[in-house]
Amino acid sequence: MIYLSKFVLSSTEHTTLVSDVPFPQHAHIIPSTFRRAKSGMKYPPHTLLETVVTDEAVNYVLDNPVQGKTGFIFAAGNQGWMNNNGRYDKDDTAELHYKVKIPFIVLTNIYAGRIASIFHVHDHVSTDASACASSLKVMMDVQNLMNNFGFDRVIVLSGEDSVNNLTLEFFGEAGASLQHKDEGEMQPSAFDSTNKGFFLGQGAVLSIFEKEHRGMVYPEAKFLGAYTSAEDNTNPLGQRSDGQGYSKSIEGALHIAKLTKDDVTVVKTHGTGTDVNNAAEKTALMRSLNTFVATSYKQRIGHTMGASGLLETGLLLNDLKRGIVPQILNRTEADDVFLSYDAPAPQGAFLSLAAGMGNVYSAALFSTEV
Amino acid sequence: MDFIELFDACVKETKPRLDKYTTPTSLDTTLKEEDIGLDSLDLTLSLILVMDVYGIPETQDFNIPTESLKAVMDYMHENKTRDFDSVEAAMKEVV
Repeated sequence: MIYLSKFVLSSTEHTTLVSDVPFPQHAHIIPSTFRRAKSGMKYPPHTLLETVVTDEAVNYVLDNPVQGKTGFIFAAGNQGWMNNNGRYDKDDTAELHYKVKIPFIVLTNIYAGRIASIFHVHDHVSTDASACASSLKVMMDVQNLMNNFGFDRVIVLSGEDSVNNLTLEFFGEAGASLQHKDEGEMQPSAFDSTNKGFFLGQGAVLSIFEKEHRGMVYPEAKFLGAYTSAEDNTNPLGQRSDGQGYSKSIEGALHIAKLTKDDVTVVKTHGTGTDVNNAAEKTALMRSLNTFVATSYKQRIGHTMGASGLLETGLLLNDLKRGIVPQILNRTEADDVFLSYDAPAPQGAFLSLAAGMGNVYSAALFSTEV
Repeated sequence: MDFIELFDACVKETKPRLDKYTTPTSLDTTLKEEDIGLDSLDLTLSLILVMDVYGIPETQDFNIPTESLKAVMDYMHENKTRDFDSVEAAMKEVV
Protein backbone atom coordinates (compact mmCIF):
# COMPACT_ATOMS: atom_id res chain seq x y z
CA MET A 1 0.00 0.00 0.00
CA ILE A 2 1.16 3.49 -0.85
CA TYR A 3 0.41 6.35 1.52
CA LEU A 4 0.43 10.09 1.08
CA SER A 5 2.24 10.75 4.32
CA LYS A 6 2.81 14.49 4.07
CA PHE A 7 2.00 17.47 1.91
CA VAL A 8 2.86 21.16 2.04
CA LEU A 9 0.74 23.61 0.05
CA SER A 10 1.15 27.18 -1.09
CA SER A 11 -1.55 29.21 -2.83
CA THR A 12 -3.61 32.32 -2.22
CA GLU A 13 -7.29 33.19 -2.38
CA HIS A 14 -6.40 36.86 -2.74
CA THR A 15 -6.60 38.31 -6.25
CA THR A 16 -4.74 41.23 -7.80
CA LEU A 17 -5.81 43.10 -10.92
CA VAL A 18 -3.04 43.04 -13.52
CA SER A 19 -3.94 45.97 -15.74
CA ASP A 20 -0.78 46.63 -17.75
CA VAL A 21 -1.22 43.59 -20.02
CA PRO A 22 -3.18 43.34 -23.29
CA PHE A 23 -6.04 41.45 -21.61
CA PRO A 24 -6.37 43.00 -18.12
CA GLN A 25 -7.50 40.39 -15.61
CA HIS A 26 -7.31 39.40 -11.97
CA ALA A 27 -4.83 36.75 -10.89
CA HIS A 28 -4.04 35.00 -7.61
CA ILE A 29 -0.55 36.42 -7.05
CA ILE A 30 1.80 36.00 -4.10
CA PRO A 31 3.69 39.33 -4.29
CA SER A 32 6.72 38.19 -2.27
CA THR A 33 7.60 35.69 -5.02
CA PHE A 34 8.36 38.58 -7.40
CA ARG A 35 11.07 39.96 -5.11
CA ARG A 36 14.34 40.48 -7.03
CA ALA A 37 12.69 39.18 -10.19
CA LYS A 38 13.16 42.30 -12.29
CA SER A 39 16.94 42.01 -11.94
CA GLY A 40 16.77 38.32 -12.86
CA MET A 41 18.34 37.28 -9.58
CA LYS A 42 15.24 35.44 -8.48
CA TYR A 43 12.81 33.45 -10.60
CA PRO A 44 9.31 33.71 -9.09
CA PRO A 45 8.40 30.01 -9.46
CA HIS A 46 11.64 29.03 -7.65
CA THR A 47 10.89 31.43 -4.80
CA LEU A 48 7.42 29.92 -4.49
CA LEU A 49 8.54 26.29 -4.82
CA GLU A 50 11.15 26.75 -2.12
CA THR A 51 8.46 27.84 0.36
CA VAL A 52 7.00 24.32 0.30
CA VAL A 53 10.40 22.67 0.76
CA THR A 54 10.11 23.26 4.48
CA ASP A 55 12.65 22.31 7.15
CA GLU A 56 10.01 20.06 8.67
CA ALA A 57 9.52 18.10 5.43
CA VAL A 58 13.24 17.86 4.74
CA ASN A 59 14.04 16.76 8.28
CA TYR A 60 11.26 14.17 8.17
CA VAL A 61 12.83 12.58 5.08
CA LEU A 62 16.40 12.80 6.37
CA ASP A 63 15.57 11.55 9.87
CA ASN A 64 13.43 8.64 8.66
CA PRO A 65 15.30 6.75 5.97
CA VAL A 66 13.43 3.97 4.16
CA GLN A 67 14.85 0.57 3.25
CA GLY A 68 14.08 0.70 -0.46
CA LYS A 69 14.88 3.38 -2.97
CA THR A 70 13.79 7.03 -2.85
CA GLY A 71 12.80 9.03 -5.91
CA PHE A 72 12.16 12.69 -6.63
CA ILE A 73 9.83 13.91 -9.36
CA PHE A 74 9.42 17.54 -10.33
CA ALA A 75 6.00 18.00 -11.95
CA ALA A 76 6.71 21.26 -13.71
CA GLY A 77 3.74 21.66 -16.02
CA ASN A 78 4.34 23.36 -19.32
CA GLN A 79 7.98 24.28 -18.74
CA GLY A 80 8.09 26.71 -21.67
CA TRP A 81 6.20 29.55 -19.98
CA MET A 82 8.60 32.44 -19.55
CA ASN A 83 7.37 35.95 -19.89
CA ASN A 84 10.24 37.25 -21.99
CA ASN A 85 8.92 35.22 -24.91
CA GLY A 86 5.57 37.03 -24.95
CA ARG A 87 4.60 38.86 -28.11
CA TYR A 88 3.42 41.89 -26.14
CA ASP A 89 5.82 41.88 -23.20
CA LYS A 90 8.30 44.51 -24.28
CA ASP A 91 7.95 46.90 -21.35
CA ASP A 92 10.40 46.16 -18.55
CA THR A 93 8.49 48.45 -16.19
CA ALA A 94 5.34 46.29 -16.50
CA GLU A 95 4.20 44.97 -13.15
CA LEU A 96 5.00 41.31 -13.78
CA HIS A 97 7.89 41.70 -16.18
CA TYR A 98 11.00 39.90 -15.06
CA LYS A 99 14.30 38.67 -16.34
CA VAL A 100 15.88 35.25 -15.98
CA LYS A 101 19.66 35.37 -15.59
CA ILE A 102 20.21 31.63 -15.54
CA PRO A 103 17.64 30.27 -18.00
CA PHE A 104 18.95 26.72 -17.95
CA ILE A 105 17.74 26.12 -14.42
CA VAL A 106 14.23 27.55 -14.62
CA LEU A 107 11.89 24.54 -14.53
CA THR A 108 14.33 21.96 -15.77
CA ASN A 109 15.74 18.73 -14.45
CA ILE A 110 18.76 20.73 -13.27
CA TYR A 111 16.44 22.51 -10.86
CA ALA A 112 14.87 19.18 -9.93
CA GLY A 113 18.34 17.85 -9.12
CA ARG A 114 19.09 20.94 -7.03
CA ILE A 115 16.01 20.37 -4.85
CA ALA A 116 16.38 16.57 -4.83
CA SER A 117 19.88 16.96 -3.39
CA ILE A 118 18.40 18.75 -0.38
CA PHE A 119 16.51 15.52 0.35
CA HIS A 120 19.65 13.45 -0.38
CA VAL A 121 17.81 11.62 -3.16
CA HIS A 122 20.20 9.46 -5.18
CA ASP A 123 18.00 6.80 -6.78
CA HIS A 124 15.80 8.65 -9.26
CA VAL A 125 15.35 12.30 -10.26
CA SER A 126 13.02 13.22 -13.12
CA THR A 127 10.88 16.05 -14.43
CA ASP A 128 7.45 16.05 -16.04
CA ALA A 129 6.03 18.53 -18.54
CA SER A 130 2.46 17.29 -19.00
CA ALA A 131 0.98 20.79 -18.90
CA CYS A 132 -1.85 21.34 -16.41
CA ALA A 133 -2.18 17.60 -15.74
CA SER A 134 1.44 17.34 -14.64
CA SER A 135 1.13 16.76 -10.90
CA LEU A 136 -1.59 14.12 -11.33
CA LYS A 137 0.06 12.59 -14.37
CA VAL A 138 3.16 11.82 -12.29
CA MET A 139 1.02 9.76 -9.92
CA MET A 140 1.20 7.06 -12.58
CA ASP A 141 5.00 7.31 -12.30
CA VAL A 142 4.87 7.20 -8.49
CA GLN A 143 2.74 4.06 -8.72
CA ASN A 144 5.10 2.49 -11.25
CA LEU A 145 8.29 3.22 -9.27
CA MET A 146 6.79 2.01 -6.01
CA ASN A 147 5.00 -1.08 -7.30
CA ASN A 148 7.55 -2.28 -9.87
CA PHE A 149 10.99 -0.86 -9.15
CA GLY A 150 11.69 -1.18 -5.45
CA PHE A 151 11.00 2.39 -4.39
CA ASP A 152 9.71 2.90 -0.86
CA ARG A 153 9.41 6.68 -1.05
CA VAL A 154 8.77 9.17 -3.86
CA ILE A 155 8.79 12.91 -3.25
CA VAL A 156 6.78 14.97 -5.72
CA LEU A 157 7.35 18.70 -6.04
CA SER A 158 5.02 20.58 -8.31
CA GLY A 159 4.64 24.13 -9.57
CA GLU A 160 5.06 26.08 -12.74
CA ASP A 161 5.37 29.60 -14.07
CA SER A 162 1.61 30.02 -14.06
CA VAL A 163 1.25 33.79 -13.67
CA ASN A 164 3.34 35.97 -15.93
CA ASN A 165 2.73 38.31 -18.83
CA LEU A 166 2.84 35.46 -21.33
CA THR A 167 0.31 33.21 -19.57
CA LEU A 168 -2.02 36.17 -18.93
CA GLU A 169 -1.73 37.07 -22.61
CA PHE A 170 -2.24 33.50 -23.84
CA PHE A 171 -5.17 32.55 -21.63
CA GLY A 172 -6.74 36.00 -21.96
CA GLU A 173 -6.54 35.95 -25.74
CA ALA A 174 -7.95 32.40 -25.82
CA GLY A 175 -10.92 33.51 -23.71
CA ALA A 176 -10.15 30.87 -21.08
CA SER A 177 -9.19 33.13 -18.19
CA LEU A 178 -11.84 35.66 -17.21
CA GLN A 179 -11.01 39.17 -18.37
CA HIS A 180 -11.60 42.22 -16.19
CA LYS A 181 -13.99 43.72 -18.74
CA ASP A 182 -16.31 40.70 -18.35
CA GLU A 183 -16.33 40.57 -14.56
CA GLY A 184 -19.50 42.65 -14.25
CA GLU A 185 -21.57 39.97 -15.87
CA MET A 186 -19.60 36.87 -14.89
CA GLN A 187 -17.59 35.40 -12.01
CA PRO A 188 -15.34 32.34 -12.04
CA SER A 189 -17.31 29.13 -11.60
CA ALA A 190 -17.66 25.68 -13.12
CA PHE A 191 -20.52 23.54 -14.43
CA ASP A 192 -22.76 26.62 -14.34
CA SER A 193 -24.79 28.15 -17.15
CA THR A 194 -24.06 31.76 -16.14
CA ASN A 195 -20.68 31.97 -14.37
CA LYS A 196 -17.67 30.57 -16.15
CA GLY A 197 -13.90 30.57 -16.49
CA PHE A 198 -11.06 31.11 -14.06
CA PHE A 199 -8.33 33.45 -12.97
CA LEU A 200 -4.75 32.25 -13.14
CA GLY A 201 -3.04 31.56 -9.83
CA GLN A 202 0.39 30.86 -8.38
CA GLY A 203 0.67 27.65 -6.43
CA ALA A 204 3.07 24.94 -5.36
CA VAL A 205 2.83 21.62 -3.55
CA LEU A 206 5.26 19.17 -2.03
CA SER A 207 3.92 15.64 -1.49
CA ILE A 208 5.65 12.65 0.06
CA PHE A 209 4.42 9.19 -0.92
CA GLU A 210 5.66 6.20 1.05
CA LYS A 211 5.20 2.56 1.76
CA GLU A 212 4.66 1.86 5.43
CA HIS A 213 7.86 2.09 7.51
CA ARG A 214 8.75 2.34 11.17
CA GLY A 215 9.19 6.11 11.28
CA MET A 216 6.21 6.98 9.11
CA VAL A 217 3.90 9.68 10.39
CA TYR A 218 0.18 9.04 10.57
CA PRO A 219 -0.63 9.38 6.87
CA GLU A 220 -2.94 11.88 5.26
CA ALA A 221 -4.43 9.40 2.78
CA LYS A 222 -4.02 6.11 0.98
CA PHE A 223 -3.09 6.39 -2.67
CA LEU A 224 -5.14 3.76 -4.45
CA GLY A 225 -4.24 4.10 -8.10
CA ALA A 226 -3.81 6.46 -11.02
CA TYR A 227 -4.03 6.47 -14.77
CA THR A 228 -3.35 8.99 -17.53
CA SER A 229 -4.91 8.85 -20.97
CA ALA A 230 -5.22 10.75 -24.21
CA GLU A 231 -8.37 10.87 -26.32
CA ASP A 232 -9.18 10.54 -30.01
CA ASN A 233 -8.79 14.19 -30.92
CA THR A 234 -6.62 15.84 -33.56
CA ASN A 235 -6.76 19.30 -31.92
CA PRO A 236 -4.07 19.50 -29.21
CA LEU A 237 -5.82 22.56 -27.71
CA GLY A 238 -9.28 21.02 -27.74
CA GLN A 239 -11.34 18.63 -25.66
CA ARG A 240 -13.98 16.20 -26.90
CA SER A 241 -17.40 17.17 -25.57
CA ASP A 242 -18.19 13.52 -24.82
CA GLY A 243 -15.35 13.45 -22.28
CA GLN A 244 -13.61 10.46 -23.78
CA GLY A 245 -10.21 11.40 -22.32
CA TYR A 246 -11.58 11.91 -18.82
CA SER A 247 -13.57 8.65 -19.02
CA LYS A 248 -10.55 6.66 -20.13
CA SER A 249 -8.46 8.07 -17.28
CA ILE A 250 -11.19 7.44 -14.67
CA GLU A 251 -11.80 3.89 -15.84
CA GLY A 252 -8.07 3.21 -15.98
CA ALA A 253 -7.59 4.43 -12.42
CA LEU A 254 -10.57 2.37 -11.18
CA HIS A 255 -9.08 -0.71 -12.82
CA ILE A 256 -5.63 -0.18 -11.26
CA ALA A 257 -7.16 0.52 -7.84
CA LYS A 258 -9.48 -2.51 -8.17
CA LEU A 259 -12.49 -0.31 -7.38
CA THR A 260 -15.88 -0.07 -9.04
CA LYS A 261 -17.78 3.04 -10.08
CA ASP A 262 -19.86 2.69 -6.89
CA ASP A 263 -16.83 3.06 -4.62
CA VAL A 264 -16.09 6.70 -5.54
CA THR A 265 -18.20 9.20 -3.64
CA VAL A 266 -16.31 12.48 -3.97
CA VAL A 267 -14.69 14.09 -7.01
CA LYS A 268 -12.23 16.93 -7.13
CA THR A 269 -12.84 18.06 -10.66
CA HIS A 270 -10.39 19.83 -12.94
CA GLY A 271 -13.17 22.40 -13.01
CA THR A 272 -11.77 25.22 -15.11
CA GLY A 273 -15.32 26.34 -15.92
CA THR A 274 -14.72 26.80 -19.62
CA ASP A 275 -17.58 25.67 -21.83
CA VAL A 276 -15.55 22.85 -23.36
CA ASN A 277 -14.27 21.53 -20.04
CA ASN A 278 -17.71 21.79 -18.41
CA ALA A 279 -19.17 19.59 -21.15
CA ALA A 280 -16.31 17.09 -21.31
CA GLU A 281 -15.78 16.59 -17.57
CA LYS A 282 -19.45 16.49 -16.61
CA THR A 283 -20.36 14.02 -19.38
CA ALA A 284 -17.48 11.74 -18.44
CA LEU A 285 -18.29 11.79 -14.72
CA MET A 286 -21.98 11.07 -15.26
CA ARG A 287 -21.03 8.12 -17.48
CA SER A 288 -18.11 6.70 -15.49
CA LEU A 289 -19.38 7.00 -11.88
CA ASN A 290 -22.65 6.42 -10.07
CA THR A 291 -23.47 8.43 -6.94
CA PHE A 292 -21.02 11.20 -6.07
CA VAL A 293 -20.62 14.85 -5.15
CA ALA A 294 -18.15 17.04 -7.04
CA THR A 295 -16.28 20.19 -6.17
CA SER A 296 -13.70 22.50 -7.73
CA TYR A 297 -10.99 24.69 -6.18
CA LYS A 298 -10.00 26.89 -9.12
CA GLN A 299 -12.59 29.49 -8.14
CA ARG A 300 -10.81 29.86 -4.78
CA ILE A 301 -7.11 29.81 -5.67
CA GLY A 302 -7.12 30.26 -9.43
CA HIS A 303 -5.74 27.88 -11.99
CA THR A 304 -2.30 26.94 -10.74
CA MET A 305 -1.76 24.86 -13.87
CA GLY A 306 0.77 22.03 -13.42
CA ALA A 307 0.49 22.14 -9.65
CA SER A 308 -3.30 22.14 -9.63
CA GLY A 309 -3.95 18.39 -9.48
CA LEU A 310 -2.06 17.61 -6.29
CA LEU A 311 -2.43 21.07 -4.76
CA GLU A 312 -6.22 20.89 -5.01
CA THR A 313 -6.10 17.28 -3.76
CA GLY A 314 -4.36 18.62 -0.65
CA LEU A 315 -7.02 21.31 -0.23
CA LEU A 316 -9.75 18.65 -0.53
CA LEU A 317 -8.01 16.52 2.09
CA ASN A 318 -8.01 19.49 4.46
CA ASP A 319 -11.73 20.01 3.82
CA LEU A 320 -12.53 16.31 4.25
CA LYS A 321 -10.81 16.45 7.64
CA ARG A 322 -13.28 19.21 8.53
CA GLY A 323 -16.05 16.87 7.38
CA ILE A 324 -17.16 18.77 4.30
CA VAL A 325 -16.98 18.76 0.55
CA PRO A 326 -17.05 22.46 -0.30
CA GLN A 327 -19.35 24.07 -2.81
CA ILE A 328 -18.17 25.26 -6.17
CA LEU A 329 -18.10 29.02 -5.73
CA ASN A 330 -20.38 31.31 -7.70
CA ARG A 331 -22.86 28.66 -8.79
CA THR A 332 -26.13 30.32 -9.81
CA GLU A 333 -28.19 27.11 -9.91
CA ALA A 334 -29.05 24.70 -7.08
CA ASP A 335 -27.05 21.53 -7.67
CA ASP A 336 -26.68 18.44 -5.46
CA VAL A 337 -23.92 16.86 -7.57
CA PHE A 338 -21.69 19.67 -8.86
CA LEU A 339 -22.14 21.27 -5.52
CA SER A 340 -23.81 24.63 -5.04
CA TYR A 341 -23.55 24.25 -1.25
CA ASP A 342 -21.15 22.72 1.29
CA ALA A 343 -22.09 19.05 1.67
CA PRO A 344 -21.14 16.64 4.46
CA ALA A 345 -18.23 14.40 3.45
CA PRO A 346 -19.47 10.90 2.60
CA GLN A 347 -17.56 7.68 3.26
CA GLY A 348 -15.70 6.21 0.31
CA ALA A 349 -12.87 6.85 -2.09
CA PHE A 350 -12.26 10.17 -3.74
CA LEU A 351 -11.16 10.92 -7.25
CA SER A 352 -8.92 13.77 -8.39
CA LEU A 353 -9.00 14.80 -12.03
CA ALA A 354 -6.79 17.01 -14.16
CA ALA A 355 -6.48 17.76 -17.84
CA GLY A 356 -3.77 19.45 -19.84
CA MET A 357 -3.30 21.00 -23.22
CA GLY A 358 -1.78 18.62 -25.68
CA ASN A 359 -4.36 15.89 -24.99
CA VAL A 360 -3.60 14.60 -21.51
CA TYR A 361 -6.16 13.49 -18.91
CA SER A 362 -5.23 12.20 -15.47
CA ALA A 363 -7.17 10.55 -12.69
CA ALA A 364 -5.95 9.53 -9.24
CA LEU A 365 -7.86 7.74 -6.51
CA PHE A 366 -7.33 8.19 -2.79
CA SER A 367 -8.98 7.24 0.47
CA THR A 368 -8.88 9.01 3.81
CA GLU A 369 -9.53 5.69 5.56
CA VAL A 370 -5.96 4.89 6.55
CA MET B 1 31.95 47.33 2.76
CA ASP B 2 33.26 44.08 4.17
CA PHE B 3 33.66 41.63 1.25
CA ILE B 4 33.25 38.43 3.30
CA GLU B 5 30.03 39.79 4.72
CA LEU B 6 28.82 40.70 1.24
CA PHE B 7 29.67 37.28 -0.20
CA ASP B 8 27.90 35.62 2.72
CA ALA B 9 24.78 37.73 2.14
CA CYS B 10 24.78 36.81 -1.56
CA VAL B 11 25.05 33.09 -0.79
CA LYS B 12 22.18 33.34 1.67
CA GLU B 13 20.10 35.10 -0.96
CA THR B 14 20.64 32.49 -3.66
CA LYS B 15 21.02 29.10 -1.96
CA PRO B 16 17.74 27.39 -0.98
CA ARG B 17 19.16 25.64 2.09
CA LEU B 18 22.36 26.39 3.95
CA ASP B 19 23.03 23.18 5.87
CA LYS B 20 26.12 22.29 3.80
CA TYR B 21 27.42 25.87 3.58
CA THR B 22 30.28 27.02 5.81
CA THR B 23 30.38 30.78 6.29
CA PRO B 24 33.86 31.96 5.28
CA THR B 25 35.96 33.55 7.98
CA SER B 26 38.91 34.69 5.92
CA LEU B 27 39.71 35.93 2.44
CA ASP B 28 42.03 32.93 2.09
CA THR B 29 39.03 30.58 2.09
CA THR B 30 38.98 28.54 -1.10
CA LEU B 31 35.75 28.16 -3.07
CA LYS B 32 36.07 24.39 -3.45
CA GLU B 33 32.87 22.55 -2.65
CA GLU B 34 34.56 20.50 0.06
CA ASP B 35 35.79 23.67 1.80
CA ILE B 36 32.80 25.99 1.58
CA GLY B 37 29.87 23.68 0.76
CA LEU B 38 28.77 25.47 -2.41
CA ASP B 39 28.27 23.45 -5.59
CA SER B 40 29.02 24.95 -9.00
CA LEU B 41 25.48 26.25 -9.42
CA ASP B 42 25.42 27.84 -5.96
CA LEU B 43 28.72 29.52 -6.70
CA THR B 44 27.63 30.81 -10.12
CA LEU B 45 24.41 32.28 -8.72
CA SER B 46 26.23 33.87 -5.79
CA LEU B 47 28.91 35.42 -8.01
CA ILE B 48 26.31 36.81 -10.40
CA LEU B 49 24.68 38.56 -7.47
CA VAL B 50 28.04 39.93 -6.28
CA MET B 51 28.64 41.22 -9.82
CA ASP B 52 25.24 42.91 -9.77
CA VAL B 53 26.09 44.61 -6.51
CA TYR B 54 29.27 46.06 -8.01
CA GLY B 55 27.53 47.00 -11.27
CA ILE B 56 29.75 44.76 -13.38
CA PRO B 57 28.13 44.01 -16.74
CA GLU B 58 27.79 40.36 -17.60
CA THR B 59 30.03 39.10 -20.35
CA GLN B 60 29.93 35.92 -22.36
CA ASP B 61 33.14 34.67 -20.74
CA PHE B 62 32.24 34.19 -17.11
CA ASN B 63 35.87 33.92 -16.03
CA ILE B 64 35.93 35.14 -12.47
CA PRO B 65 38.95 33.67 -10.68
CA THR B 66 37.73 31.39 -7.91
CA GLU B 67 40.91 30.06 -6.27
CA SER B 68 40.04 32.00 -3.14
CA LEU B 69 37.65 34.59 -1.84
CA LYS B 70 40.47 37.14 -2.11
CA ALA B 71 40.81 36.43 -5.84
CA VAL B 72 37.10 37.03 -6.27
CA MET B 73 37.30 40.24 -4.27
CA ASP B 74 40.23 41.53 -6.33
CA TYR B 75 38.32 40.81 -9.56
CA MET B 76 35.25 42.64 -8.31
CA HIS B 77 37.23 45.63 -7.09
CA GLU B 78 39.14 45.90 -10.37
CA ASN B 79 35.97 45.80 -12.48
CA LYS B 80 33.38 47.54 -10.31
CA THR B 81 31.38 50.48 -11.59
CA ARG B 82 29.81 51.29 -8.23
CA ASP B 83 30.26 50.59 -4.53
CA PHE B 84 28.29 50.81 -1.31
CA ASP B 85 29.05 51.78 2.28
CA SER B 86 27.37 48.74 3.75
CA VAL B 87 26.18 45.28 2.78
CA GLU B 88 22.68 46.26 3.83
CA ALA B 89 22.67 49.20 1.40
CA ALA B 90 24.07 47.02 -1.37
CA MET B 91 21.48 44.28 -0.97
CA LYS B 92 18.67 46.83 -0.92
CA GLU B 93 19.88 48.23 -4.24
CA VAL B 94 19.71 44.92 -6.11
CA VAL B 95 15.98 44.72 -6.85
